[in-house]
Order: sequence, then C-alpha cells, then structure tokens
Amino acid sequence: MLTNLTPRRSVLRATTLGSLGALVQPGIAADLASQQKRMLVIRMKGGLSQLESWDPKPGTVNGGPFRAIPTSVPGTHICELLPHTAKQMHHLTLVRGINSHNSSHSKGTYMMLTGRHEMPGASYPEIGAVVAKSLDSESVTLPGHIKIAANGSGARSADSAYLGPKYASMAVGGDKPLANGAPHESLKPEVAELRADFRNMANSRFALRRRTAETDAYVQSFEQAQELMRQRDVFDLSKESEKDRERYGEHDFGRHCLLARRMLEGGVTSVQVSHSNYDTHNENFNFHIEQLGEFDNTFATLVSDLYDRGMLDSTLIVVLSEFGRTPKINARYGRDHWGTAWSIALGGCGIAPGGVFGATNKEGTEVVDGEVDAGHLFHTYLRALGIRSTSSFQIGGRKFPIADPAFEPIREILA
Amino acid sequence: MLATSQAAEPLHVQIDRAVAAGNVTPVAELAGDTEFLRRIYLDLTGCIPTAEKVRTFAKDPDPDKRAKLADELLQSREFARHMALTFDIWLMERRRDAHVKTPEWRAYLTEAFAGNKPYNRLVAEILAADGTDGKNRAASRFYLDRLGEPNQITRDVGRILFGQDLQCAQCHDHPTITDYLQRDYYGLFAFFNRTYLFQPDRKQPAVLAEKAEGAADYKSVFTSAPGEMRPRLLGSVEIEEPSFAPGEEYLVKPDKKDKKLKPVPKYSRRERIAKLATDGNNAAFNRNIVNRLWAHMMGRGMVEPFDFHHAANPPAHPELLDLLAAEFAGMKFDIPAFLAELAKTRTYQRTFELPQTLAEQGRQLEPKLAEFQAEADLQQKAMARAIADLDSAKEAWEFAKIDLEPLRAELKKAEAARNAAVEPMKKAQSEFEPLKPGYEAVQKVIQLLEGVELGSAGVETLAGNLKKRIAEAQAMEKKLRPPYEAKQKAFLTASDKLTKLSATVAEKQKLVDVEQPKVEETKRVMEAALAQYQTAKSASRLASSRLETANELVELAQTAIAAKEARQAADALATQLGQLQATSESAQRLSLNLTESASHAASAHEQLGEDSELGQAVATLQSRSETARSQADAAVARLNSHLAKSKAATAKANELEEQLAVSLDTLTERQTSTFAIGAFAPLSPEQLCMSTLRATGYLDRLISGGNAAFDKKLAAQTAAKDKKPDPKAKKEEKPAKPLAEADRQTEVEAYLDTQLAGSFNKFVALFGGQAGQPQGDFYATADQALFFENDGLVRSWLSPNSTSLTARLIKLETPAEIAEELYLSVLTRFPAKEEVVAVEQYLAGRGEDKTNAVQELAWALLSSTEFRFKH
Repeated sequence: MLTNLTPRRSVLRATTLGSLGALVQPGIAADLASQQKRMLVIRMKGGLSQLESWDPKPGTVNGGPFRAIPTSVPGTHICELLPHTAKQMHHLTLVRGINSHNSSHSKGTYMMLTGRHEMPGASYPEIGAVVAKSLDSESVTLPGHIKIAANGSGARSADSAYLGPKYASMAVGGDKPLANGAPHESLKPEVAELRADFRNMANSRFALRRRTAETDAYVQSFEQAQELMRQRDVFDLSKESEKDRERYGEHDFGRHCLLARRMLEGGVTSVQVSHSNYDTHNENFNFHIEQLGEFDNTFATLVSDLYDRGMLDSTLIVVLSEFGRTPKINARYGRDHWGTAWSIALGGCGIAPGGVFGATNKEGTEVVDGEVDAGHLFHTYLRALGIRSTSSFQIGGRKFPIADPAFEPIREILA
Repeated sequence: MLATSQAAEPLHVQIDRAVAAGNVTPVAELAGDTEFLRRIYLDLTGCIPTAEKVRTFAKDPDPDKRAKLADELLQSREFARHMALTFDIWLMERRRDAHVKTPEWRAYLTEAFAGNKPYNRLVAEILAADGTDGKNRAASRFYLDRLGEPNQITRDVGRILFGQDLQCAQCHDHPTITDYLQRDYYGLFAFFNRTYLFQPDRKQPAVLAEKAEGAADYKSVFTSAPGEMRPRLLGSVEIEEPSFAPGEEYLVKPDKKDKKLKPVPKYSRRERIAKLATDGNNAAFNRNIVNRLWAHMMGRGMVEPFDFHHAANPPAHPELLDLLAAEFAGMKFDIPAFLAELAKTRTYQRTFELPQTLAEQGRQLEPKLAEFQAEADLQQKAMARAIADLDSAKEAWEFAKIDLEPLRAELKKAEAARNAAVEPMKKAQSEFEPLKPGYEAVQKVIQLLEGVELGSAGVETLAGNLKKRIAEAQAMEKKLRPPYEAKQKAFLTASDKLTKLSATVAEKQKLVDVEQPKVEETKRVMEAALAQYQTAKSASRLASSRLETANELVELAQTAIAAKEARQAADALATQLGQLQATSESAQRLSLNLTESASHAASAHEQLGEDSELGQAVATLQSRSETARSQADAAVARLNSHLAKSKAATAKANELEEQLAVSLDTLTERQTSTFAIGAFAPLSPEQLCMSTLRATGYLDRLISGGNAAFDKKLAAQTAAKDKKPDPKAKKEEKPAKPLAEADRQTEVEAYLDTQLAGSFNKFVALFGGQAGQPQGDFYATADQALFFENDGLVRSWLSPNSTSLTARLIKLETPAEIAEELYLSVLTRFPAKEEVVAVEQYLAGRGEDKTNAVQELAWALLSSTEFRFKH
C-alpha cells in the first residue's frame, strides 16, 4: 500500500511538535542543491535528421546540400546548420551508432524515453520519472519531474507508471507559473498561519492515537507545499532578465530553455523541453534550416550558461529524438522515418566530454561500429547520474528493475 | 480444517477465532460507536455520515445497532453505487474510455449491485461479453477498453481475477517466484489469443470477434525451450475441447471478400473461461475476491499486494483465507451477505488506536520471556522432530516402493507372458475344435460297429458287411487321426503353457499383494507426518513470532522508561541551566560594575592627586573588581560545561525517543498486518471528495437541488399535459418518456453525477494512481496540499450558504456548540475537552470575524490527517 515513504523521524518530529518554518533552511538548501544532480532532456519531436545535425555525410549520394564544419573538438565535424553548437562540442559527446530497430513515432518515443521495447500488458516509467525517483532526497523540495510546454498548467501526466503520481511529470510553462502556487488574496498571511497551526494541533493529537509512515507523509506534503509556495518564483520566467530573454530568443523554444535553466538552477531534478517539428517527409532541407536555425543558438547559449554557472558537472543534457531520418532522399526532397543508423548528443554530468562513440558507413545506411539501442542509452543516462542502473525499485512489496536488464551502459563515454 | 469442525457457527465467529489463533501481539479494544459509524459508512457507502446521523446513532441504546446499521446500509442505493465504483476501479484501474463510456459501465455495475447479482455471475457476464448485444455492451468494457489485446487481457485477468501477476512469465518462467510459470501465462493466454477487436466500419461501434484457430505457442527467452498450451486455468489442467472437421469450425465462416462479416466459431474459448473460472471450483479465483473484499473492509489484504498470491508470499492467516474462499463460494458469491459477516466481526470493530498500555504490557511480559523462549525452543524442537519423522517416513515409503517395484515388474512380465500365450492357445483351440466332432463321430461309429453281436450263423453276409464297414471306418479314423492328434497336442501344449503362466501370475500377484499394503501404509504414515510437520511448522512460526513480539514489547517498555528518565534528566539540566545563566549574568554585571567603578575612582584619584583615602578605595575597588571578574569567568565556565552536559542529555533523550518511535512502528506494523488493531487506510480520491462534500454540507445541498429540479420537471410535465398542445410549437423529435415518482432516485443521481463530475475529476487527478496501474497505493504530494491550501473549489464549498456547515456554525452561539457541530460534521465524533478549548481560543483570537473564523476551522480539520484516512 505504501510507496516511497521512509519515515523521516528527525525532521518530522520537529514538524509535528508545531515548529513550522522551512524544513531545510535556505542556505543549506542552496548547498545541497549545488551537489544535487539533474537531467535535462531536449526532445527533437518528429525525428531529427542525423545527416543534417550530428552525423553529416557531405559529398555522398545521401549527403544532401549542407557542408560539415569543424567544431571545438579537433577532428569532430557536425552539420553547418549548427555553427553555435559546434563551438560547444567540447562539452558534448555524440553517439552515432544507434540502431533502435524501429521507425514508428509512438514506439520510438516510448523506447527512447523508457529504455524498453513496448510490450502489451506492461508499462514503464519515463526517464524523467526514473531519475526524479532515484535522486529524490529530503533536500529536494520542488517537484522532481517537469515537462515544459507552452500551455503547461500544472497538470500531471501519465508517464510514471508504477512510480506513482509523485514522479509523474508536471506540465509547466503556461500563464500561471505554478498551479495553486499562491494563496487567495483574501487570506492574510497571519491568518493562514493561524489556521495551519490549528491543523497542526489536530495532527499532533491524532499522531498520539495512530501514527504511520502514511500520516507522516501527509503531514509532510503540507510542509512541502509551503516550501513550494516560498519558491514559486522558480517557475516564473518573468523573473529572468530582459537581456537573458533576448539571448535565448523570442520564441517558445528559447523561452522554454531559459525556464529550464531557471528550474534546474532552482533545484528541479528532471526537466524536459521539446522542439517541434522535425518530421520532414517533405522539404527536409528547408525545414532543417528553419528548425535548427531556432535550435542552434538557444541550445548553445544554454550549454555555455550551464557551464559558466558551474552546473554542467551536475547536469546531464541529452538531445534525443524518437528516431533519425532515412539517408535516402525521397522524391519530395524529404527524408522518412529511420531507426537503423542514427545519432544523439549528450553531455555534462558523468559523460566524458568531446567524444564520439560509434559510426555509420560512408552513406550513412548502416552502423559499422559501436552499435547501441535505446536500452543502452537509458542505462548510460542513469550511470552518468551516478544511479546504479542494474538495481531495482522496491514498490508495494515487489521489485522493478530500474532499466531493462537485457542491456548495459556504454562505458566508453562515461566520465 | 476450520470449515468442517465449526461449520455450525456463524462465519464472523469463525473469523474472530482464526484471527485470534494467529495473533501474537496485544489486541486492540473494540471501537466506540462513532468510530465504528465513520468506518462502516466509508466502507459501505463511500462517504462519512451527517452530523445528525452521528447524534442519533450515538444515542441509540439498541445493543444490536451495529449489525442493524450494517444491514441497512447494505440495502441502500449508496452501497450499490459505492460498490459499482469500487469494482470499476478494481476492474478498469482508471483506464481511459476507449469503446465503452464509463457512465454506461458504472450504470451496469450499479444495477448489478442493486439487484444483488452474485459475484461469479457478474464476472461470467463480463468474461463472456463480446459487445454485440445491447445487454452485454457495457459488460464488454473490460475487453473493449483494453482494445481486445490478448496479452493485456491475459495479464489483467491473471492479476485482477486470479490475484497473480504473471507478467514476467510472458517471456520466461518467473525468475524468483517458483510458482509463476510460463505455461501458466500461456494457459491463460490461450483463452484469449483468438480474440480480437472487430471494427470493419469506423462508424460502427467496435465489438469482439473470435477465430476458431490460433495456437498459444511460446519460447523461453532464457532457455529457448518451446512450448504450446491448450487453455488452462491457473492451478488447473489443460481443458478438453470439442474438435471439428476441417471447414466445420464456424457457425459463420470468415469471408475474405466480406470484411464486414463477423466470424462466429462454433466453440468459443472466451465463453468457456467465463463458465470455468466462475463455477466455484477454482481456488485462485475464489481466494482473490475474498482477499479484495477483506481488504475493502479491513484496510489491507490478507495477501498484499492483491495480485501477488504465491507460496513465498503467504496470507497473514492462511487457513482463514481458505475458509473465507470456501464460505464465499458456499454462500453463492453473495457480496452483501459476505460483507455483513465481516462487519459483525470483532476484528472489524476494533479501534484503530494504538493501545496506550503497550509499555505496561511490556513490563508485565518481562518475567514471562523465559517461558516464551522455552516454548519457542520446544516448538522448534518439535518441528525438528517432525522434519525427522517426515524424512524417515518418506524414506520408509521410498523403500517400500523400492521393494515393491521389482515384484511389480515381475508381475507385469508374467502378465505379459501370460497374455502373450492366450492368442496361440486360442488359435490352437480354434484349429483343434473343428476336428473334434468328425473324429469323435468316426470313433463312435467304430465302437458301435464293433459292439454289434451277430447271434447265429447264416448271417455271413451281414458279418462280411459289418467287417467291411468297420474297416472303412477304421481307415477313415486312421486318416483323421494324425491331424487330429497333432492339433490336439498343440492345443494341449498351448493350454498347458497358459495354465502354467497363469499360475506364475497368481504367484507373483501374491508377492505383490504382500508388499502393496506396505507401500500404502508407509504412504499414509508419510502423509500423516507431512500434516504433522505443517502443524508443527505453523506452531513453531507462531511461537517464535510470539517470542519476538514479547522481546519487542519488553524492549519497548525498557526504552520507554529510559527515554522518560533521560527526558527528565535533560529537563532538570535545562532548568539548572536557567539558574546558572542567571548567576553567571549577575556575576558578569557585578564584575562590569566594579570595573567601571574602579576606573571612575581611578580617574577621580588622578584628578585629585594625592588622596590616600581615595587611593585606598581605588585599590580596594580594583582588587574587588579582579575577584569579581574571576568569579564571573568561573561562572561562565560552569555555565559552559553545564551547557555541554545539558546538550548531551537532550541528545540522548532525543535518541531514545527516536528509538521508542521506531519500536512502536515495528509493533504497530505487526499488529496491523495480523489484524490485531483496527483498520487504517487512506481514503480513495472519491471517498475523500464525497466526504469533503458531505462535511461541508454541499452534498446535501446538491441532493436538495436535485430533488427540486426533479419536482420542477414533474410539475412542468403536469402543466404541459393540462395545456392544450400549441400547434405552432415545434414538434419534439422524440417525445421523452414521461417521468414518474419512481424515477426520482435515478434522476437525482444523474443530477449529482453531472454537478460533481468536475470535482471528482479534480480529486482523482490529484489523489489517484496512474491509469492502468493498481489504485491502492498511497501518495502524498505537494500539489495535493497546494490544492487544499489555495484552490477555489474547497473554498467555495466552505462559504456559508443556507444549510452549509459554515452557515450552521455561524448561527450557533457558544464555542462549545460550534466545536460539537464542527467535529461531528467533519470528523464524525464529539470533540474532546481540550479541543473545545482550542476552538474557543481560536474564535476569541479571531475576534469579530466569526464568518471567516469558522471557515478556517473547518478548513483546518478537512486538511488534517484524521480526515484523510479511514480508521
């Protein structure tokens, strides 16, 4: 019946005895936050073309019109559509040998986010939920799993499976920074405190009659709510400077990345940003000019900001898609769905920077070295964050392997 | 077995006895009336009672009022609706609607419970439904909203109807649970893998179709061992199935040209499982439902999680679960009758409060520890003996079998030899028998002829004839004899052989007959030893569990004393600390004053020059000041050392109290898991929503609103009837069925459902589990708390309005009256004295603002732990 509740006696004792106030003092929280590990997933929805990004094949039959340009890592070239990102490559690592055996949007997304092949009758939590749960601790006072969306209203998604609603992603990014994040204007702070005191008294009396990990957790959820209200500015983009807003770009992706920086800095464990849409069955090249034109500067700004602020060591960044795109250019100058030989980029926490793992053949039609699947990547993310990917969650009296036991991490790219 | 020896007793008595037999902890007292009232209302109607109901129930002097109330609630419409919701959540786990809408499905379930449909019939309908018939359309939601996916259906039927989560066994035998096998999964899968979602026309509703072919074959991903299963229920054998000539399998054959034609096989595996699973003979099916119903009332299952029944995860009271399963099947799966029995048990009616006397009981137990230890050792030894007995009995049985085996083999051989001789004998006989009459006839003739006596001479001719005839006959005999004799010999040899072989068989049989009973006897002994071992094992487990608990209790008592002493010591040190602080401060003040005075005097002395008296005074002051300073320093040092002591003492007291809390937790957990203490469980999202609505008075307001709306509709209908039809008015397309008073209930329910849909969705989104996951888990999240803190919904329910809770509270005069109405309405109990005082103080503190003050008080109790849980 009980999920993820370790009685936190010493902390709770104080609270049930009526001392309200922050569970963890702000100064300490900042300290803890600096040690806390986090993850940012950038989802290139629709399927980013590896040939127009991480694995260009200029001058070949499938290569398309774009050049490859040198990057800050000698010997590593990426597509010329990513000039700013090229300057940040020494912070990043490329995995170029992905064969996910799959070319459907829904299956590919499922695989890349859960690290498992979709199987009827089974459902698995997404990476954001797994990371939020694995890295949860007393010092984490904010929701652990957030997806930024233009219309995000604080609602939870169904992406945490057996890990339960606590680790389901909260959609943030709409008009209201945080759902129910502020008291009604009619409620004066001193009155709010009075009524909370009356409740605390009732809770203390009840604890003498029966006290369980569940009652403790319920009491604690109100403490967390107080903490969240105090920190609600973390979700409020308007608190960022005009200059930064400009640097990140006046478009959804720019705003979302800036909000992501803000929330990661504020102590959110797992953040996901999406960029749409790369499903370029028609006019692949024009669309990639347009999409990556928006992506490149913002992404590069974010990577260098995280580095400058000393957060890159503790923040894992992954840029992924559900699959790549066919080397073969179709009659409409498009590229189609392709799970056979494609790439992702990642970097930061736990990843050896500046590397390239795996390779495709000259035409990009096949993986010739370092072939990996979504399961390997999933293990790799976890290991990079210091999570033992072969361990299991214990939930409701049973074991759930954190990652698919049939795979293992890519040790070559771990720091 | 419990079931047979005490069958005459009502089930609730048997339950209490079984629970008591397995209990090792102190047992909680019976709950008071109000505590019972809240619990039974939540369990049977999904909502707390009104304040009025609490008052009348508390006053009612009838000693049998609890059982009567349970029966009354079990008959209520609210019960049917609450059960419908409960089963919806069990069966569908908040999956999104795909092909059947939830309201239709809920209505189906509600009618099932209102009509007291037996559980097995309900499940049989659900498992047989294909969605084609209007009558089974709603029931088909179980399949249709799982999109007819056979693996999804297999897993959920296994989990939800048989209590076994076989998911791992889809790909291989379960790695850690030895009784979950891949062939179990595929045995169940075989019932469903021919089923598929049939929707050739997107505009028509999807239904289920079934093929007449399709094997459930599989391969282990570990061993690559292939297998194929015919349908087989968990814990049963593969079923026999009718077979049809090729081409004869269908009532309606699939037609490749006509995609809209739904094939219908002559034999449906889905219909088969609907019958087989629900006929009362499948133990897993029966245990699963009684475990869930038990948990529904008792706060947790005897097996947890519900879908994890297996040998290594035994029920809290194994025999009791078997008894319940048998009794429930015996009462024809009558859910209200079963719940009524549970409600009558003392187990159900215990208080949820931790016994306050645990430490006292621990102290009393201390001298008995040795006794418990001895008993545990004794049982341990008895078990060791039982194991030894079992081993030797097994051995004896094995030996007897070994002795018997060669004899049986010889017997078998002899039988085979005898059987082999039968045919040749019969053949020889069949060749010999036909020769017999001819040959014997000739012999007879010869004999007759030779016996003829010719009396006188003159019959020469006759004699000659006779001789001739004899010679002829003899010639004939001579001719016939060799084959006759040969066949006769062959026959005799064969029949002789057979006789001998039969004798050998009889001989061997005798030997077997001597040994066979020995095997049976040793087997009986072995079985008795096995039973003995099982008894000894559970007795030993109980004894060691009792010992462990006693140890825990004693430790608890000791810790409690130590903690109390440590706290007293720490408090005493803290008090002294105050005194020391005062002393040190005054010493410091004195030292400061003297230093100041000395320095003033010194400067005066400087100004005045040679004033010996003053000089003397300065010297005195300076020396005094020195002394005072050193005294002050000493006081500070004393204070500091005392402070360190005090800190250490407080730390020790904290640590002991921490330890005490942990011991209490362990003990409570043990009590909870063996049902020695009253139920404690979180409210479901719907229970929380309904109870909040009831507590605030909003629910009853809505019910009145629903009735008023219905009255209005009725009145409008009557008025319309009286009025002449307006020829200009548009004709309604379908004239609605006229309403009658009998429709009131469903109309009011529909009104409530419409009005409350948004509120329920909000609560479910915040407090429920993820769709398609088990819904029993408890989650406390910050967004739930933020919802209570800041969302407008609960605030709107709390605003004073006609008969709402806060409107009633505002009208009341004294704090005591307000406290009573508040606690009865929200917490279903009378307030304690201290609580009345707290309410009074709160109101006084809020001065004139009574309107807001009562809303704040109600809000505080609604967001308290006491309200959040069922207990």
